[in-house]
Amino acid sequence: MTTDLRRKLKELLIERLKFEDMTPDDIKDDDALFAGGLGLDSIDALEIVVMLETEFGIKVKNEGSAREHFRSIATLADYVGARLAQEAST
Amino acid sequence: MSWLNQLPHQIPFRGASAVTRRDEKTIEGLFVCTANDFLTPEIMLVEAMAQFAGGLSFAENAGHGFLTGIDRCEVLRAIEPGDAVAITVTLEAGFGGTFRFGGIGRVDGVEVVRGRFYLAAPPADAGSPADAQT
Repeated sequence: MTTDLRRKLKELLIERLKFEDMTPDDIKDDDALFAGGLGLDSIDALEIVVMLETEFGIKVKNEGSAREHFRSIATLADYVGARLAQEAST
Repeated sequence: MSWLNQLPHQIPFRGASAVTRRDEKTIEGLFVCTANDFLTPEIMLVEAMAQFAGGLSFAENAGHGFLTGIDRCEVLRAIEPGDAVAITVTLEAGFGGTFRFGGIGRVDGVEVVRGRFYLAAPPADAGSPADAQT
């Protein structure tokens, strides 16, 4: 599940952020998404928020915690997995 | 005073000319192309759409945002003097002080331009762009 979710997130990022020459295998699970890593910026962060809402029904409202959740594919997958589990249990 | 007068862009670089409707997430207005336009009409049209986006987000606070990105923008036919483009700009999403807008423009009901715009609010202590220039 975790591996599948990480790969799905990589595919979505590549599609949404138009990384045309990149494949999911080019993104390591622990690569930093922002400064120094993939080099994403504030516009990309907004696109990730929109992506989480449209693809998973997850609304991100806490900007402070998002900084940590969006640190890498691994942390993002953990966050999405936890939110989906939370939704399923309610 | 109209928020149009508060824009940092004024004639000849103000493309937004009149607001015809506005609510929390949508603004509608006009771009009127004239032979005296300062830049290529299509450039001024896209600039006008961004100015409407700024008016939707920042006019209430009498503040200014920064245009940080334009994406998926297409001008579907040449814009000529005399064209009055009815523009609709909608706030689609916002996060962390960055906002995404979708814009569409029509002449006589026919779509002539569409695009996506990103604006960022300056940090509260950064002042306005006008302050930075003085």
